[in-house]
Amino acid sequence: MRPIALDIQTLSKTYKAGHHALRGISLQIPRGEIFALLGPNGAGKTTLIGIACGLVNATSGSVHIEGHNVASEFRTARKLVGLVPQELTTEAFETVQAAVAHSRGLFGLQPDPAKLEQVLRSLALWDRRDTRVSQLSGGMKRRVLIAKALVHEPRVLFLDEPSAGVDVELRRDIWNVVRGLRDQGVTILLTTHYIEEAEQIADRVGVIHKGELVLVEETHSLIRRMGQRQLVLRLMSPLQQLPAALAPWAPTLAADGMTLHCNFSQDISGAETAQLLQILSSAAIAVRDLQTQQSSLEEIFVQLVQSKS
Amino acid sequence: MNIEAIKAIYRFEMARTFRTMVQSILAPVLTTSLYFIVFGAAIGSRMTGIGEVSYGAFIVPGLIMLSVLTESIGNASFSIHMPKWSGTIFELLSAPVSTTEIVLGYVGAATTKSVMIGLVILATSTLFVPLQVLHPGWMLLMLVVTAFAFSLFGFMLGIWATSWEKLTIVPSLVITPLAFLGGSFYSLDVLPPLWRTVTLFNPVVYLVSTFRWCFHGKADVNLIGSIAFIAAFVALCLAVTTWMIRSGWRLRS
Ligand SMILES: Nc1ncnc2c1ncn2[C@@H]1O[C@H](COP(=O)(O)OP(=O)(O)OP(=O)(O)O)[C@@H](O)[C@H]1O
Ligand SMILES: [Mg+2]
Repeated sequence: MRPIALDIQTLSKTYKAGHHALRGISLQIPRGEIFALLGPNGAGKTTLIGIACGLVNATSGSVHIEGHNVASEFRTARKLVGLVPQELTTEAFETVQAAVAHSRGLFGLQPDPAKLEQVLRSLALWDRRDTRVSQLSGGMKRRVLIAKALVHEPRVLFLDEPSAGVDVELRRDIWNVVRGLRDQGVTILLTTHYIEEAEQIADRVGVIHKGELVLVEETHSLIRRMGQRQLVLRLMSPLQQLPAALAPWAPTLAADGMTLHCNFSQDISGAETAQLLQILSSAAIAVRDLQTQQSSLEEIFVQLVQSKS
Repeated sequence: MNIEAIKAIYRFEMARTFRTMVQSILAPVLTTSLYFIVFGAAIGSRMTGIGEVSYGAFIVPGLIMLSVLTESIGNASFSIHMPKWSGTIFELLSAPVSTTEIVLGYVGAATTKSVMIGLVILATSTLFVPLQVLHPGWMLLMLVVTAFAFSLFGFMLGIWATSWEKLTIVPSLVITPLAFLGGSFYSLDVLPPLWRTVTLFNPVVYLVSTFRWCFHGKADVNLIGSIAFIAAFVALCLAVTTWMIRSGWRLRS
């Protein structure tokens, strides 16, 4: 088994105002995993990351980073951690280069121009290195925040909604960087509201709701287990009656009789589709168009959250 | 100890100082020059000197202290309040730094700036009055120690303040009156006995008086007592700051 990079034990947080943001969360993330934390607004994602990074004091429970307690061994633990916060907060008057170099120093590392250049280049910031941060666009500022979090070579990286409000290109850059880090054995915990994203990039997903972790599962197995696949057939002429032979696929017919939905519990294998089309043709039902649909994590997620509340 | 972090914070803060050079250095110089013109030249010429020292020369130490005090508090409190307010403090809070690094970085930079301002004012004053400094070594030491003590105090203030308004309340309602009534412009001898006694509760009196001793060799109050007072003040501020940073009071939620 791979060693545990992030170990969260019965973590709870009650804010001063009395709000229970986290209720006894336990979670272990092995080294080199990309873990996506999903949850509606106010679920407690940022609070969880805040405790792991030293921004929020836990009410009870513990967090260990590569075996180091973030409260009692904060120096060792924090050196290993990189954080890209949800909010765009950057020093305005510094140049990109100075801001990123500053972060490296704060984490106790000597200046390393080569590393600085590599990080800036990987985020397409190299050409803007002498620009003041305040003059950058929002997306560029997010690149700076990511560069600041990477320049001290963290072993565990927290990305709090890294793709909120960023364009396609930046999103692609972020995921390239993230995958590159994972290949170097960096452990990544990210939060996102874009569920397709978690689907594409995460090894495992966790769903947090009202401060409780309601589910942790491998992304693929989750989709396989809870995902439904459908074959949608558009017909040439309205269908009066469903052929009995279609029964195994629990077909439903739209009110106008022109669209037919058939359910597959597993992947649509070629054979199953061919079999279905055979039945249709022998019943003289002409098909104009067909497409397959798969329920996304989004739908699974909505189902989960609804069943909980 | 995380030396690189101290350097990073210090450099970052000094860069801010140099970016705002005109405002940071020129403003205090202008203010002090105005004091000299009004008190030293215009009024001072009608005033008899205090002891053997001309009135213009007499007020120099007090004027320097006045600026060092307000500048130290202002700069150090801003340096930590600003990131707290804008949110950029997240990085400092998530970095492997403890009280020592934070204080040396932030308070060290604020101290440097105040000492620079103090020296610039000292240089400016020589344009207006003939000046002697009897104990230059002690003078420098006092300058640095005072700048450090009040930068530390300002740093605490910056953490304590939950709004910009609160940040300015303490300096304007407490420090400015204490500084003005701290004997910068007069010798305690000229006060009636009752007021003299009241004045002795003002900590700034000890600073100004000791600092004046460095220049003119005369002090209103006991030197050893003054040094003990400053040391106690620094120790108290250090203890409070350490507690603030350790517990995350008003820094971590
Ligand atoms: N500093 C704070 N003081 C008091 N309550 C807070 C504080 N920060 C967060 N909360 C509350 O804790 C709960 C969890 O907030 P958190 O920011 O962790 O949610 P989130 O899952 O990150 O939400 P989002 O998706 O909107 O970013 C919310 O109800 C929020 O109002
Ligand atoms: Mg959040």
